[in-house]
Amino acid sequence: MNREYLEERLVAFVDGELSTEDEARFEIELKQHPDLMELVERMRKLDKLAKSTGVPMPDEAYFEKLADRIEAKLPEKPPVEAGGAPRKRATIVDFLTANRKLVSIAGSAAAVLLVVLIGVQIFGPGTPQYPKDIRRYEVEPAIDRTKVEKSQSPQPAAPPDTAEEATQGRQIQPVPELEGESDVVTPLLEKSKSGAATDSEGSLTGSAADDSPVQIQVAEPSSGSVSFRKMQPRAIGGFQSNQSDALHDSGGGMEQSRLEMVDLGAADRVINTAIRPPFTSLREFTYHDLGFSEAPAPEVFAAKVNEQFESQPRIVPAEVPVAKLKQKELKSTERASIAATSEVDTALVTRAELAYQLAVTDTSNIYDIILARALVEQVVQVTAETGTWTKRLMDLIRLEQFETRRWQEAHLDSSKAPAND
Amino acid sequence: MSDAEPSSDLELIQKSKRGDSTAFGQLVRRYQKRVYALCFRLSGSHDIADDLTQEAFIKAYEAIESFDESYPFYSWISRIATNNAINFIKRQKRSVGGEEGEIAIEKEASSGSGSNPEMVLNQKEIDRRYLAALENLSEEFRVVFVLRMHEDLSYEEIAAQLKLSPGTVMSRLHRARQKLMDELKDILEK
Repeated sequence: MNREYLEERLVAFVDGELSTEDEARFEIELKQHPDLMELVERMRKLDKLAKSTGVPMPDEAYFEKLADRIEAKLPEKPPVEAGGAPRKRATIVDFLTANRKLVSIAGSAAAVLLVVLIGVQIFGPGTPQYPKDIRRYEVEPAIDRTKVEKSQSPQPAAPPDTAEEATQGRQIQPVPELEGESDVVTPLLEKSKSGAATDSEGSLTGSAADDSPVQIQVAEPSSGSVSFRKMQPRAIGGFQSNQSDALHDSGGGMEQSRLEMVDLGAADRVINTAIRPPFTSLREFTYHDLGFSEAPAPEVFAAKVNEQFESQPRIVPAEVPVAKLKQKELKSTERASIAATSEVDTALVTRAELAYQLAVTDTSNIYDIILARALVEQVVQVTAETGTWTKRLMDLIRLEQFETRRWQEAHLDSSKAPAND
Repeated sequence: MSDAEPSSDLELIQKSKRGDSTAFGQLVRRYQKRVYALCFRLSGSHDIADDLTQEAFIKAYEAIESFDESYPFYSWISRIATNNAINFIKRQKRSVGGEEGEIAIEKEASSGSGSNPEMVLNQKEIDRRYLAALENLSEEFRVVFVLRMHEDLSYEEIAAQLKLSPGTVMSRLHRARQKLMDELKDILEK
């Protein structure tokens, strides 16, 4: 924990608002900062002073008069019904209760209509079919990317400039922790450019125009065998619900109706035209998957993930400033609040939180951004009525959208980018 | 205020719901001091606190039918009073200078004020300084600080009441404390 983080949490520590675990950790850290310890003491003194300070109160006679004045001003209540219950103004609830049959019919009709609409959105024409086991596809990262060869895909041809866009797509994902591995990426790109990795049909990168799954021929390093694997561009690994998939099906356009501000076009184009990056991302691994019962400290999480993927490029770079992650970390109290005030799955919230932590730390990692946005949207959907927390998330989404656009402007030639719809 | 209060809050609330203003009057007598103190801390003025207290109870009576009896009455009335105070403060500049008007001030016994006259004087001075420092805080900091320190609300409760995020509550509390510590530096260093 750095000083900035400690200072931020100091007040929560003094107020006893940290979880027991966080508090214990905080106390240990605090001992290394005598000046902050002193600040804690001063805050406690102030609190003691505040609590011991009374308000200069008027005398009893004043309060007697005040009560009389209030009583005199109380409005007359409406007459009480025979049963003793006060007569209330008719409310919408009363109306619904009194017209149950009508409401039932209307509700059924609405439900049928909704099902039909959703069906059209998901299974309607022009909607790409996702692999049934998205997670399986997404969780298989062990490929020798230098051996990506031209695809035998029967998919329609990609536009001629697709490979070039793929190259752009690769170049614009400068993940710091992967800098040392640029030699892995570059040969692939060069192959792509020279046509060694893409045939005349450009099937390596798939067709962005038709939104079809991309087929990539990959070689397993362990066996040396070559196989084809469908890579669904917009499949968000780890998603629990079909709704989430539908949310991110820009072909179906549902996500845009959920949150008008969110434009997945740029991200989709990148994925459609870029080769899967040589690193996995948080989408595949939540802390639950890694055996944690609750969100661990970012550094612990990073260590665990890296341990799991020793042979893989690091997905959580060791050099990611922990403080930066911490700043974005939602407090346990916030999580509890959401869980208490809505039906949202706490695990989902924490997944969104973690994904966002990573995404905001490295906004050049488009996959993490998309995942984070997806998760956040899901949370927002459920918690739309709950207020403050979602507002904060929405702000983050706006910020992320801005970053995406900025990134797109900087790196994508929109005139060449295929239409997404 | 009568010494004996035979009826429980619940009984008084139920009677109030049936239109019994006398029962509600008993609730007023039971909680008016606390509500008044809250309003005073939020507004820094006796006159305003007086108005806000009246308004809070009247609003509460008007809405008593919607009161959920499973919750304590004070937390409800204090929420009404806080919202009233915030709206009031936003509407107009509050009076400055601890307007005590013609109200006879009877200093509430504070902890630390014993029989020693010097200590009482000291405590009075400390109280005065603290209240002045509190009053000097901007409204957004003062409200959060008062709710936390004097109403013992958690971050989440404050956040819910003020429609803020718990993070904002924490940040405001931090800044409020910093400002108060600056103003009361000499007292705190004693």
